[in-house]
Amino acid sequence: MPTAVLDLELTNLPPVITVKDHYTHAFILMRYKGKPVGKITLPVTNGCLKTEEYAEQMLTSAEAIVKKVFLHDYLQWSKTDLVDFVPPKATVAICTRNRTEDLKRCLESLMQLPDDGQEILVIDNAPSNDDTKILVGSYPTVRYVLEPRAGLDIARNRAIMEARNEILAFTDDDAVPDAMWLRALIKNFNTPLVMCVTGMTMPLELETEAQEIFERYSPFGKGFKRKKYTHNSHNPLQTGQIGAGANMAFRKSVLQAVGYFDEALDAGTPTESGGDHEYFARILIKGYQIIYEPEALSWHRHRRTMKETRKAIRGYGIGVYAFWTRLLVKEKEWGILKMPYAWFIHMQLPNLWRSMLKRPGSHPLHILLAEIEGCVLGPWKYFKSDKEKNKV
Amino acid sequence: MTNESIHVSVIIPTHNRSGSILRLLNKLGEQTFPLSQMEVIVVANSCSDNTFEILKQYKAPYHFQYAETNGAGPAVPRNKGAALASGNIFIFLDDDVDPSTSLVEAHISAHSNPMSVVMGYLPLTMPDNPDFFRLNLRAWWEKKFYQMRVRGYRFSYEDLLSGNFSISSTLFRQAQGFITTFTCRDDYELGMRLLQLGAEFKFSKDAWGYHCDEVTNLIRSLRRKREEGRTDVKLWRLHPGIQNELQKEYTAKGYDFLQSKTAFFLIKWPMITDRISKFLENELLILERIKMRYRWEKLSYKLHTYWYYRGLLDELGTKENLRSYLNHYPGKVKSDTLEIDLQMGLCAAERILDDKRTESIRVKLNSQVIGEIPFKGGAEPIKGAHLRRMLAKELSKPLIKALSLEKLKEQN
Repeated sequence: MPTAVLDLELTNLPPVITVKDHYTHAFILMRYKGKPVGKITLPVTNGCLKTEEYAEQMLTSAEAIVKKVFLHDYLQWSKTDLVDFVPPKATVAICTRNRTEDLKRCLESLMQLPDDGQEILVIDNAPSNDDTKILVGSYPTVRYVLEPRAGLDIARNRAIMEARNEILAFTDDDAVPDAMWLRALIKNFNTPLVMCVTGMTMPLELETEAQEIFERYSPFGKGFKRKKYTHNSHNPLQTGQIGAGANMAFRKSVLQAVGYFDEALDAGTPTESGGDHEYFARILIKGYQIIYEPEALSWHRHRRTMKETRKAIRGYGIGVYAFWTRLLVKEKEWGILKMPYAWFIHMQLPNLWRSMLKRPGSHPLHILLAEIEGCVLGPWKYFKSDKEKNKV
Repeated sequence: MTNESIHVSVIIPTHNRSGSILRLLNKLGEQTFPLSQMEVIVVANSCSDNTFEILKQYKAPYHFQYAETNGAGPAVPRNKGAALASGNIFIFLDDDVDPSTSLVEAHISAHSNPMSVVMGYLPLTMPDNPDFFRLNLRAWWEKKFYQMRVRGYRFSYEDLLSGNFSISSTLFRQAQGFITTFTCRDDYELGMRLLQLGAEFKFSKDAWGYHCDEVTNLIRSLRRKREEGRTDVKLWRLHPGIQNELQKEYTAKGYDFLQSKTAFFLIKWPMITDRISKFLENELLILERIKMRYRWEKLSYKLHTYWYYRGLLDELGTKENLRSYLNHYPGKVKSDTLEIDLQMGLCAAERILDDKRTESIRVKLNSQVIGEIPFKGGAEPIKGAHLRRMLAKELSKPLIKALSLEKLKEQN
């Protein structure tokens, strides 16, 4: 059942919205005075959505955040307002590989960012052709860097080295950042302890069943409340809910503080993912803070086919266990040992059970099994990947 | 150089740290502020190393004085330094500060009126592999500095951080300097009196220097907690109004603590509980080694609480006295307190608060009471700039309700 993705402003809600006929539902991101406050999925009949009928439901689902925005708007005050804050300049880095069409859409959206003196950097990671280089050539303000060694974490490390500004924001090539995305990230770098800020990522389209399954099982959006993660208020080994690599920013000094991304992790290596979450863990372990900022909104095109989605979820399973393996072996984080048990008993097993009983809202069994398969392979894949890295 | 030309006096108490005092003196010679208008006074307090020899031989590019004292804490040498100083503005620095070259200039430019007291920024230096305690220590410092930068922050006595602050000589003399009977927290006590005198606290990020504190560690911090407990009782006796504000993180659950077995044994056989708590310090080390953060945090908090209460009991003696000390009373709002009706607009309300500078307020919207901001011990009087933050933090729920009702009324 294809779902239309809509971005609506609650203060200016059109009474009726028409979408293409084939949509049965609408996934709505609700904003209040421009700020994201909630999401809701509503039914669509004959390509028509009467918002009046659902206005109350919409408002109730976003009530807590709407109230906060309403109050702060009245007071013209925000918790993060500092008397002496000068926003640092940023570099936006896109690590890409053979996805020119997606990249073009991403670059177009970056051209809509207000000019705060940001630099835009494309790291072309071991491409098989010249398409990306040619595309980037048509954007005079975008800098092209070729990184011949394949691997997402290798490309990220290259971006840190190439970036000329104090803040480095990463977006994926298949993401479309909102116009206020970068500003929302940057305003959180207001104390030296904030080493990383992650943003909220919403689905760009929900055209296929696979995309819906992905959004339901593994959403990149982590809620509409700003959160602060520190080493003593949060288990630093549990970084899944902090954010994701498609929407994150760091201080450049993160390199001195915690070192490079581990090149044995993430896409382009046997571990397939986990580089971002492992890095978050290291940042917290070293006593720095990570802020999750929902106003830093970006849209991500999820994988369209079921095969790709299953592979991605399996990859996440591998990634999580791979990065846990790394933290255990290299950082001697013994607390890791109890994590697999907790995840399995509290999350994976109940999900499997609900899926087998075909309970409403349960996730497809093959997706859950793919993740567990990935988990089992994770540690071995990490050792393999680490060995390959050392060989190079 | 004549004394008339001296505008600023940098006062540094020091105790057996000849290495860091030399680094500090050298860095003060590289200041962007004109050195001819600056004097530096080092007061060596109860030093047994070669500090005094170094001071004697030091050739400074600025006006330089040194002296010696034998006090129990840094208050005596600080007061001595101030007595020798001839500048209009005093900058107090600790001997473990590694100042930026613009520190003095930034302090001076932040002094907009004679009542200004300017706190400088002191980022803590970190070793390569900091332990849990050190990470918490940095987080504590950074939180303190961050709060002072938030728009609408209401300063309190605890914001006077004596490691890097500046004050006009007249205000310092009016306050009669630091209290010398305290072994710690003498800066907080001065902060209390300065706010009572009407001082305007400020924070300057540009007046920064590294804080090269290499001696504070977990064990020292635990021992110091006992000292802080003792001092807090003295502070309370001097300024009864701040009782509510003293180390809330430990006293908020004071009655629970009084009911606990720890308190029972602590009051009866303190020697035994001391032994146990020292034994548990070893457990902290083990928890750190196996990186059990959560348990470490919990135990560390418990031990700090223990030593804090140990200090309180040292001074108070009996359980009854401790109970009366913990007797928290809710902040009071006098019936004739200032009333602010937000109907007049936030800017107009801010102007009234700037004009009146009261201790507590009652907030209304269109004659409906929204709530009260009660008296807060040890805090600066309320001014206009505090209003929005106080409303957001303390009265958000009733204010949202009232504003929504007003909107509905308008629509109808």
